[in-house]
Amino acid sequence: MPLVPEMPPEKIFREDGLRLDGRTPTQLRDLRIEIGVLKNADGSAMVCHGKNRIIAGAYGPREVHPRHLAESDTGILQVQYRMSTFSVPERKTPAPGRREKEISMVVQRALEPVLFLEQYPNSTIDIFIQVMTADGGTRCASITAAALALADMGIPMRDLVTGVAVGKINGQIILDLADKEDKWEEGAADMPVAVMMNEKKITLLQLDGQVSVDEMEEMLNLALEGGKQIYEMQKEALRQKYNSELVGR
Amino acid sequence: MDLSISKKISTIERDYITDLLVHGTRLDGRGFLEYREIKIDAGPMLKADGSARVFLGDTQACVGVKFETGSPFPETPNEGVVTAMAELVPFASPMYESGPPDESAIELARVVDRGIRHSDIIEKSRLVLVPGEEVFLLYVDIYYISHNGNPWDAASLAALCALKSTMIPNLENQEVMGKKYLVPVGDPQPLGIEDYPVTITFAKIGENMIVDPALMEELICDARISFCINKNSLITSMQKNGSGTFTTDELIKCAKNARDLAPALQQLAKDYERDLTNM
Repeated sequence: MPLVPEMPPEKIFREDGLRLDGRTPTQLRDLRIEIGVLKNADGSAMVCHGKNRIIAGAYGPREVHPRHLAESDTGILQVQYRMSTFSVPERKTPAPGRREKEISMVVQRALEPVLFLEQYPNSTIDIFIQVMTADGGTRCASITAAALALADMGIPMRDLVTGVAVGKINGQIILDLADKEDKWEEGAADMPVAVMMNEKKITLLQLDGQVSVDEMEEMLNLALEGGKQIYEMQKEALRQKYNSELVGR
Repeated sequence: MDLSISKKISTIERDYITDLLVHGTRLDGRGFLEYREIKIDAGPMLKADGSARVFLGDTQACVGVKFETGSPFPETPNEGVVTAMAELVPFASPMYESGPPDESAIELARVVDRGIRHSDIIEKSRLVLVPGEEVFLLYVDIYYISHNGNPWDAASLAALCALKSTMIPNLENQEVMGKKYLVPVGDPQPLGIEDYPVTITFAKIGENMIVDPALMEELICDARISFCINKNSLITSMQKNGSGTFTTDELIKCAKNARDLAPALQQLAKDYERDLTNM
């Protein structure tokens, strides 16, 4: 006999108009960032965004394996996004699925614009992302973490990349969807965005749901607003790491 | 992807470490029977039914426990099923590559698994829903995320802490929207564990035996031996690896040391409680 599946909540907004977790429509979840959490990776970061808990580790630039993937005129970026078996309500099988492969690819495309890959012919930069707890918006939080792992590695970058999701529930536009909001189906849309905040350039954009062009504009603006707050926290986390390194010397 | 990458170590490094041991010290200044600092992160993974992240110096292992329900094995109709899986995450070491678990990952899972299994850590009837038909399946999934030596002790301790913190609900047969389901009733209750088996690993380098090998020590060791010791000081599993050999005297000496080191590790697991306040 199967276990009963998780039931969706009956309401998605509370009586007082706030969201289930008490946020206003344009409020981010709590965000905590740690840089340099892994000893052997060249760069690493852990991002706790709401209940999401994601670790990213980066290596490189280093030799490409297998060799035939190497390009003689440029370096390559390889990204692997994986969910741990216990990161979701029902245990996930350990083998990677279609979703993980697609997210690996879109995250790679979201990060490539900030790197000077042409400086590293025949080489690769590898990023491994492991989701320890998933609670909606993991691809955005993964990008936030991966960009920090790259920065921690100490290679030149045009900017950081910041991931943030915007969405719509019952026609109301909201920032940073939590898992329950992500799964809501009535008048809903989910739009993950990644952005290079300095020049406000979008490096990832997906949409799941229905929106008008006007709504899309409103959502993009909200994404930039939320992105700005996350960007500041990313920079602060990096500063903290380097401050503590200098003090330790 | 292999935990034993001994060819990458230079002779100079090998001789240096061996020489230090002959003079009674270790690379990081520890005593031969001294563990690195052990820390446990209590709030890591909220979607798991039990979890822990153990730091052994710079070594890190994350374990999450998830329950499912299903049929028991035909030969043990009145017991639940406990399965351990281990994955070496590529960011744990530049030597790892992604892919399905290789032999060292499988060995790690099996060392942890046997430690749990032969200690009767969970009371058998605790995992039975309908005898012979429906039981809890417990998945103990190990993610080895930072490889700096001695994954066995870190993963075993993380698994023990994760199981200690595991909560499972009471389940009832109910009809939900015309279908029969097992529905959780009331708050989840602690799984409850009856024993505290811990794994203690020694590396043999030259004539010396050292506990909790750090990465370099592990890479150059001639052989290693892991003991799993339960709360009654009984050895519940052993695993020898590496191409070197042990004399019986050496093995008995290690076993005695393992027995003496076990209570301190067991106390860490006894004191462990998961922090469920998110951050």
